[in-house]
Amino acid sequence: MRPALVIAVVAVFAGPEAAPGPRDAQMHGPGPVPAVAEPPTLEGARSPRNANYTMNVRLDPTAKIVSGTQVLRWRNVTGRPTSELRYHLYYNAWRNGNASWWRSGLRDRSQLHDVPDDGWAYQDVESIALRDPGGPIDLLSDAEFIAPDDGNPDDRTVLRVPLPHPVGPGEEIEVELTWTSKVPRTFARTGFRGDYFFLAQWFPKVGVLEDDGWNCHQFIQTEFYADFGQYDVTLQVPEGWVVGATGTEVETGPGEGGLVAHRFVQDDVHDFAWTSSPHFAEHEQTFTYEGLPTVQMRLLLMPDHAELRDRYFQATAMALEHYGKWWGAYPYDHVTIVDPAYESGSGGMEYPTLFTGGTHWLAPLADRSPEGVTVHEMGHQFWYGVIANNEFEHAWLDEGFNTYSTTRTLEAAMPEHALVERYFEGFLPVVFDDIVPVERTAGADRHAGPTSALLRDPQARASYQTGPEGYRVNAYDKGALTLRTLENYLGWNTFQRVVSTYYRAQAFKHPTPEDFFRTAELVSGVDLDWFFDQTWRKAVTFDYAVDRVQSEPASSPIGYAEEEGGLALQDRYGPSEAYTSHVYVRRWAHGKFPVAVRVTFDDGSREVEHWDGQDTWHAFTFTKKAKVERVEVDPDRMLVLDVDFSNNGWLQKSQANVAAAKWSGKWMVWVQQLMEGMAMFS
Amino acid sequence: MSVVLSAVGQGIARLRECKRQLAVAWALSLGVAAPLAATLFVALRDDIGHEIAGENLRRGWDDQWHRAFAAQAEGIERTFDAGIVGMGAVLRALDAQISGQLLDQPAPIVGAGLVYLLAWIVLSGGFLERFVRGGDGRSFWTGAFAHAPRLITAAAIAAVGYAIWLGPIRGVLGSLVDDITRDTIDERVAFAWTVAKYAVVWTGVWIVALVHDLAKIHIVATPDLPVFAAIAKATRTLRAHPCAFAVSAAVAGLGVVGLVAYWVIAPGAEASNAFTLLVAFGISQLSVLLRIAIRALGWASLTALVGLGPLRESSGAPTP
Repeated sequence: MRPALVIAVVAVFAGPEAAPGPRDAQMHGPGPVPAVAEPPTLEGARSPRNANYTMNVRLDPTAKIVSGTQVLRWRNVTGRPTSELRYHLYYNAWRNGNASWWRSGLRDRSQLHDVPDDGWAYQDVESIALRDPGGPIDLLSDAEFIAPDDGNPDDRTVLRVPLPHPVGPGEEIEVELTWTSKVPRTFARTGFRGDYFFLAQWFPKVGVLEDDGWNCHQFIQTEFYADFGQYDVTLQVPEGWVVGATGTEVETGPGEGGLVAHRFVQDDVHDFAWTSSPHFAEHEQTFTYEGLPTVQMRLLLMPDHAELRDRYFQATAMALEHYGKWWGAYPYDHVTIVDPAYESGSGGMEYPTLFTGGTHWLAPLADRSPEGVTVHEMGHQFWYGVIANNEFEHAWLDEGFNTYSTTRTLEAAMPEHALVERYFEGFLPVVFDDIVPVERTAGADRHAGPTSALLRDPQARASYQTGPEGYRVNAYDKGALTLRTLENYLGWNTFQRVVSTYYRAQAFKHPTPEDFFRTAELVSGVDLDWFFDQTWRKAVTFDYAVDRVQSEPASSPIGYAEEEGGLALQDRYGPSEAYTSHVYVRRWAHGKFPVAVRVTFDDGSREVEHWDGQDTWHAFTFTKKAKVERVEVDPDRMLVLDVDFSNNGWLQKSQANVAAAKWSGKWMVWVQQLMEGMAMFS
Repeated sequence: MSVVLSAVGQGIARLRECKRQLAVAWALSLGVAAPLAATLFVALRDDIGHEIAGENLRRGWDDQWHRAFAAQAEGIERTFDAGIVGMGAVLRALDAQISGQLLDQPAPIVGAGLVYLLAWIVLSGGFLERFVRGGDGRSFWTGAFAHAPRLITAAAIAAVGYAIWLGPIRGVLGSLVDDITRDTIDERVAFAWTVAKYAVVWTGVWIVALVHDLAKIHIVATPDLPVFAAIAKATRTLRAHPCAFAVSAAVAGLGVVGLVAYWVIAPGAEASNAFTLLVAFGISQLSVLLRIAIRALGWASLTALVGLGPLRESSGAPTP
């Protein structure tokens, strides 16, 4: 265990709000963890600030070119010297079809033909020089493209830059760089549509030096990993264009060639994204909530979403409030919400102090759009922005934590939810009030079956190495379901302390899954190795079920019975007021988890039994003056990782006929309507 | 205006004399769709079994059960979800029709649809026999089968026209709209272009359908008229009676009013026992009956417009 973590974890205090949970009192005492460490503060250096950028860039919206200069002030924060730098050149992922972006197997290469001529991109470094007292030292001549992940010689997304002399631990260097990028027609949420530009992954960005070397992956997955630093970026755009960016605008003035220069600065962030368009309408509101810092919210809104302004703000405030109460305060005093242009492909993505939402022109409240995506992306300011885990390798630490937190927030703040169907190429929504969609963390049902995506890759496998579908399932679904199950197991009070402790201890750091596991065990006082072993190290599924239920009279048995005069053969049950009921429950999958079994009898009485869930089956026997009417395994749905809840319950009186008749009848009307559509051509 | 109203009025009057035939047509719809529904019923019943989901599905909807069901669904089961509840069944089908995706369904459903289409080509001969000749002509079924060969030929020719509009022309227009809107940042602009696209496509389909309907009327009215001659005559008739468009639009308008009314009463996912199940089923069948009646009304009104069939005193329809 890392010494720093031990100190921080033991030191951090419990979160400000805690609702009672069902398991807290059973599992351990409710006492708070002693408070010593401070939550993320608003003053001073909160991060190592070892990757600091000063940039001046120009946008040519006609040619779709961004060009600029960069000064990187970089400090070696490891214990070993390094004799090189490694830069990400993300835009080269879309330079041509030979890039690893296309070759990774995650994408259908036939889509190459769908890329329009103005869809491709590139990022060319024109000069790199080390600032030296003796004058700049050229670094470009020895620089080379490398492919640490797949060895693809045609991939140009990682540039290795040898240094003339090693940079020792704690030493700092400054590197000047000039570059030109062609902006794509939106790949991976960066690009243009008309005169709307969203620029992310847009500048040459240094990788992360760790004790075992450079962590600078090729651009294959759309997730990132970078060190914290200070950003001072001047963005030159045409006059009349609105600019939104990471940080706050501190200066506006004339730029080159008639452009207008907007200077943005931000400390303690690990990325910088920006957007510009003449179509944005600017709106501002202030988030205030007792006990939480004030946050200035700036919304850049597209014209077709003018009616949705307040909903964007309310959703942002929802996340600030609930994440802030549960996990810890948002540590910056501002956030920029970008409403992306129609079909721009840039919606639903997070960058430090800035994120993109996304919605429709017609957006019923029941659809939770833009609320869902807004809460989620604002939530990433916590799980990604502040807790800067390596997304490339452990995407579930941000996506899983955030999906879990998003669902919890929406449950708390937006009880209204209903099915919304969209017609006419998706433009026209209709709300069906009586159909309530299941929440994302309610269960793993859609992953049922022997080919379950949950079985394909253990979560411990690096995210960028998971196979098709594996990334989404592991990062989002399984991550969130794991946390929800853990919340149910530990109880909300304890789990909230676990997560808030982890948040505060790891703020402005790069935690690993083991950091979270240790925090969970330390704060809860519960051995959870068996749980994380199953959910993280191994790829197993969970499926508990009712197997069989039998109730029979508890009188003399069928067969030989003792009677006066000897044994007598009985071929039917004798008169009896009691019944013996056998309830068989099953563990169909490999995953093991303790579950409750609730049995309801036809006289209304109930019995709740507990099964450790270790064996492949277990039988419960009851003798009562009533028959079993209903059996529920895990009735409170603690184990939301269960891949099939439908087999968790059993009814003595089947409702299948009525239910099937009802829904097949409704479906038949749809078939008849389709047939009427065809009959129109008679 | 009065010509249009008169034609539609005549059409309604003639339709009222075909109640039994409408009932037969509705029964046909039930008969073709029921085997598919029975297949789904068995799949649902077997999947639900003694599960508690059955209770939830009887009272309303169980989305969690459906996720597990959908994960392993095959064939027609894959088309089953909550979106078919209430008006959703009508809207989803209309959406598929408008966007030219009626054939993008599982084979059993498309097959049933094609059988139903063929049956309606035959039925149209019976309906038109009644509309053109009233009670003086052949019986409904005699007329239906007597005219069937030429009506099938006419439908095949018309199908080429429908296919052109809903296939390549829709595709080309779709690409054109995509090109026009590729830099559009406002969804409303894209929506307007999409409306324009479908307005063009369905105007084309509408013209083909009107010519087709008028050709069918001529085929029935003139038993020895060759199919191509009937189509040529239908084209001339449409030129002579441009208000056929208005009649068709008025009938379609009645259909829309009917569907909006149905929307108000369409049964949702609420609780069901055997009785409420039956009532809900009956109400939902009104939407089917409405579409059947509207289709027949269109033919009846056009027949009246072109001056064929028994004229009513109240009719202001012109003579041919």
